[in-house]
Amino acid sequence: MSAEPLLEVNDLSVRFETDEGPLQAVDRVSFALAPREVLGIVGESGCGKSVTCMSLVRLLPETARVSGSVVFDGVDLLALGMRRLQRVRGRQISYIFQEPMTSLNPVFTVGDQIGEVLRRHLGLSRRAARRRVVELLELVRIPAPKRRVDEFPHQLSGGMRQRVMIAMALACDPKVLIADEPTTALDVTIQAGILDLMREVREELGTAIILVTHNLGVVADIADRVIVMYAGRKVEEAASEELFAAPQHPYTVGLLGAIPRPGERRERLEEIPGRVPAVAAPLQRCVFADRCRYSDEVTLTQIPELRPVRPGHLVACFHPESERVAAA
Amino acid sequence: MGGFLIRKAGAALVVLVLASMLVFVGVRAIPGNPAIALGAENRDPSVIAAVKAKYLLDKPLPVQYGHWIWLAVQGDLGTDQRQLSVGHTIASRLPISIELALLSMLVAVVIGIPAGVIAAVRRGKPSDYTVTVFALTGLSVPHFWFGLMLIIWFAVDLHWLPAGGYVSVHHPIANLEHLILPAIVLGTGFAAVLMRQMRSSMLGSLGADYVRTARAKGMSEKTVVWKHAFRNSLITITTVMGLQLGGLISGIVVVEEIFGIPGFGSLTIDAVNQRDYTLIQGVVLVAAAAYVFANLLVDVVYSFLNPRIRTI
Amino acid sequence: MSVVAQDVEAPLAVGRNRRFRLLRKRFLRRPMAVAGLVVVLGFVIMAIFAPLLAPYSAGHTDFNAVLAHPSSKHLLGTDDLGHDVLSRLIWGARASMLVGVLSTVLAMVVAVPIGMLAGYYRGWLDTVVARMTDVLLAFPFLILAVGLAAILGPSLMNATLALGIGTVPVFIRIARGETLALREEDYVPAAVLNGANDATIIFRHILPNMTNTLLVQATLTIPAAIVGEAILSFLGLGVQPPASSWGTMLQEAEPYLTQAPRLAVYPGLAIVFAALAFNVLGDGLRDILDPRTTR
Repeated sequence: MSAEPLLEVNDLSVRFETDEGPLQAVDRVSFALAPREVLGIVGESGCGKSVTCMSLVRLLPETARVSGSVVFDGVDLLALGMRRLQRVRGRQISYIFQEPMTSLNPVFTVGDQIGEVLRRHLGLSRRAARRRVVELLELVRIPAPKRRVDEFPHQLSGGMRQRVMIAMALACDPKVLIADEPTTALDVTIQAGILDLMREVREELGTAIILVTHNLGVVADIADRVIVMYAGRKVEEAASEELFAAPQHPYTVGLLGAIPRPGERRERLEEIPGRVPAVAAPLQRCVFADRCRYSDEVTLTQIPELRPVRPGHLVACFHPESERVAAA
Repeated sequence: MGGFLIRKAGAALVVLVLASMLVFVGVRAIPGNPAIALGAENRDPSVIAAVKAKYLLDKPLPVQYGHWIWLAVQGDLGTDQRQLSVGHTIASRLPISIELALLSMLVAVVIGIPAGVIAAVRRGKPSDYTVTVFALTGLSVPHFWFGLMLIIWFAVDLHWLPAGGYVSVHHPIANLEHLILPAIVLGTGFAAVLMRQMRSSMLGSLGADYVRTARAKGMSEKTVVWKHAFRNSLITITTVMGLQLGGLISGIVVVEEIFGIPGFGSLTIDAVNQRDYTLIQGVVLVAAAAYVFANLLVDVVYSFLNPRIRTI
Repeated sequence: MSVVAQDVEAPLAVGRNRRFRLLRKRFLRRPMAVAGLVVVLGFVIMAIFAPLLAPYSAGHTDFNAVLAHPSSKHLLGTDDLGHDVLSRLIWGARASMLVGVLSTVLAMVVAVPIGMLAGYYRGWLDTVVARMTDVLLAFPFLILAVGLAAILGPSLMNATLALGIGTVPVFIRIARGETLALREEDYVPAAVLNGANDATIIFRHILPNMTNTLLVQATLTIPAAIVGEAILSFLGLGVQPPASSWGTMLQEAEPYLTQAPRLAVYPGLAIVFAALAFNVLGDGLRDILDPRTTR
């Protein structure tokens, strides 16, 4: 692994100003992304994973207050002027969204929307851009690319639209691709194809990928390292295999326990009682305490900080698996 | 796209037929003897007999209707109180109103659409409030009052522009001089509507996912607003404009009356004041037909702008 | 554990009271809308309490002071027949506001049930309603009013009728659209399973959920109707003398445009302020009820 991280996120916090008061969506999250690495961010809906990613390139609405730093290529993206940030977006750091139908502009052709990026960032002429677009469509395995170039999003299937989004994101050969739940809106059978494509992207183009999902199966399939988020905080981080082999945080354990495995015989799937809380100000205790069976005095009054409990494995917990098992 | 337009044209035709029936029934519903009404209140028995024969008043209603429609389609809308051909009168006055309508729409589009976009982009800031207040005021001001005020100001006090009347297009400068105040009166009212609709539509577009994608791609804010969001809003605006055309026609009636412009609108007023039922019948029918046709034009424009319709 | 219980419950307990307080808070944050509400109430009070507020009675004339300039005796001057302008304005508010509000209410009473039925049952009923609405829409409202005036004769009630008919299509469309969307909500099949019949579903479940949209539309239609009444009366198709409305005042002022332009200015300003107030109020209401706005 090369030493210099591509992207370094430090103490990222996001607070929304709403009618009903402030809403703390992300609380002091830090992580780093190495070149060619696939980083998975998992968590339930509402845990702040999407907000975290959108804040990296400042795509959040004006009601969001973002603090911390996001260092890319030696520059803090959060402090960058808008024009310079626009040169980074789409060129160095690309983004793909969950809903390909609404994320593509219905009134412009596929070729126009992909070509736009090429013309803006790489200064290609219309003709050159069009040729490159066809190449890109081939790269993402869209059949009959010369025809598709002039088609509109509503003429394509869901899986193909997502491929178009990927093509659009890869057009300028970015260093980082942020994929926000890219397969959630797609059929299971199509999902596999998209994931394969992303794997190829990493192999052949060397793009680092941040993959956000609530689907652990996807993470197991393709991620090198995984971050688990809950209620706006990072609660666990480890290499993918390590995480699945030895999950530490009770939440992670619960998530894994909730997955049905073929060949297993059980009466009920384990569920985690309670719901993800919406938090106004950072809680001065463990965020998971109210749903955790190991909760006690300490977890209700102090914030657990991230610490390594196994080699290369960080957890923010007072009672991680390895310590409890050892004690028992 | 062809299918869409054919369906729209078909629906328009149906509506037009139904509307004409409504007009027909309406005129026949006037209390009193229709022969007297259609014959310009002349009670001379021989005239009444002649009127009855001309309009087939002794035959059953559907036959009367068919007869009327048959003639109307050929351009014969009967003769009015002064023995002038209704069709001819309308044909001579309609172009004037159309010119006024086009000028007004030009004013409205030039003012209203950019203002609406700016208001949406700078939502919550002072320019948004200014635009919104202007728009709401424009909606609240009666055309004719605004017209009267402008007449007092520009024509009476300042003597810059004529207070009324009309000069034909053959003298373009004088023609414009006479039409500019009425066009401003109508245009600003329409612009107010456009402003609000554009703002509302742009706010929707700017909040859409594809705008977020455009920003994530690194497009400049100008591109995001004017290429991505605006183009989508333009589509919704066209449907709205079609609906507002009715307001424009109503406005033309009033404005022509105030500024003394001999167009279709003032013809309507004259017809009502003189209780000239043949004229009223023809005028209302033509007004409805024009409106339906204009809406059909809007549908055509819409089908060009919206790729979903274009590619079917 | 009580601290924990509160954390979990707070987001779930959004009762009607709380929603109303939230809306009120958002409303108060918009000075323009508040101003609109105040002015609207002012005009309503003016209309209702005209006999108490007007310095002179409606028909009072003073032939010694014809076309007089504003003075202490006649705060806004007098018109060509010696009527006190201020009093006529206050009395005129009655007719104008009445026509404005009544025509909208009439339109709603007729249009909303029709629209709801069309949206709920769809099928041939929907097609028929759609065609009828299209036919009504084919006539620009003024042409419609002109036609009605020609048939029925001009009067305040007929003007109200004409304006009401012109407003019906808007409400049919809204009621139909809202019903189409709302009938897909989950509580509809739930209610059916509970044994509710169609009428109950429509009136007890769907209607209350569209009152917001209807209210906003009403506050935006009323000013159009007020302006509409002014147009009709100005053209002689609405309120007939000796009764007065702001529109008839404008009609009477026209011959004296050069001599006493103020006679046209005052009623016009009254119309503008009343309509503007309703429009601003309606605009504010629409804004605070829109789930997309954050403040």
